[in-house]
Amino acid sequence: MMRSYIILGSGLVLAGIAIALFSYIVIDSTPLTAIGLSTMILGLISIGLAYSRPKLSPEICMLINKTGVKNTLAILEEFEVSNTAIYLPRNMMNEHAKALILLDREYIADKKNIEEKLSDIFSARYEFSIPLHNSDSPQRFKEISHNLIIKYGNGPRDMAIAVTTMGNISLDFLKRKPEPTETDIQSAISYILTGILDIAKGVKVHFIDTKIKVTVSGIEKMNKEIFQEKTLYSQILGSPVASIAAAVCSEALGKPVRITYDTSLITTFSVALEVLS
Amino acid sequence: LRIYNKFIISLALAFSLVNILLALFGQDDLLLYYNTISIAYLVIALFYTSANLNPKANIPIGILSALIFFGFFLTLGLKLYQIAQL
Repeated sequence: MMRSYIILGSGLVLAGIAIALFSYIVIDSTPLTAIGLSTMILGLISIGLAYSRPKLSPEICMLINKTGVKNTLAILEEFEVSNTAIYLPRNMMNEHAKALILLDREYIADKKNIEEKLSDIFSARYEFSIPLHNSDSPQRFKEISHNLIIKYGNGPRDMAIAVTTMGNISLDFLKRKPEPTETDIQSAISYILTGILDIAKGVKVHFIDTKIKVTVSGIEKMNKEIFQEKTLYSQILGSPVASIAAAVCSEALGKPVRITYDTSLITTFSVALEVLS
Repeated sequence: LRIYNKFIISLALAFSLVNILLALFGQDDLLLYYNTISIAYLVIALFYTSANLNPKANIPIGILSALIFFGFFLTLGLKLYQIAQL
């Protein structure tokens, strides 16, 4: 992709110089000289833009992405997870945004039940982790963000797993924490999806009480396989678009957020989020 | 890369429009063409850089904007010099 921009740019610069010189010296035409000048500017822009693209090919990015998704999927399958993930802001997870998945056998649909579980998790910090590494330092138990498995009660299924999603990582692109307003959240999601990732055309965010509706339009058709494939991963953690929307909303509001609805129609994504307290 | 393509296409359309309109009005001053193209470029570049363009892309666009702006001032100086000569 980078090469095509350089080829286009070089071609335009050379053609621009040729047209400008020929028009100015030989045929003495000002409009044609101006066209040559414009072509040169377009060529220089193309060359400049080519060097601002990452050097990794989309295939390599896809490979890395798929590896991560498959590993997380294996964990989700191993734990027979049925509950959808709860996206937590950085301030609740020692500056590491993560998604928390409750391991209860039965699907918890009720908002109040989830909030009670979250309250258990964040009040019982001493019970947090299954020792997965050999450090017995008491400090480790405070560092919730570094643990994969979080135990918060005495029951065998009183556990949750904390995973990092695409949405959580995408927060690193933001220059500042978004304000908890519709416009700022919309602008932050739009910045990630349109400006940085360049996969969508527009984003709209609407607050309805404790619910947030995010509509993302103009998702590229060629990304259908990644963005619209229904797997256990997307059922639990949401599609990449929903994951980004949930992570940004959670970070902006400073509250846990879960995806309640995530669907796509041709090139438009509709995501409904529920803010938990 | 759609946003990059959109940026290049917007510039191409704006430049074409400027050139066609000025040619239709029978303008024959190259500096006028250059200045109009410069203004079109600066406005579109400002719109894209202040909107959602990748921060990495702002560097080459900024450099080119500075060069074009410098050229704009140069032509302005030239015009002022010509007026002073009269």
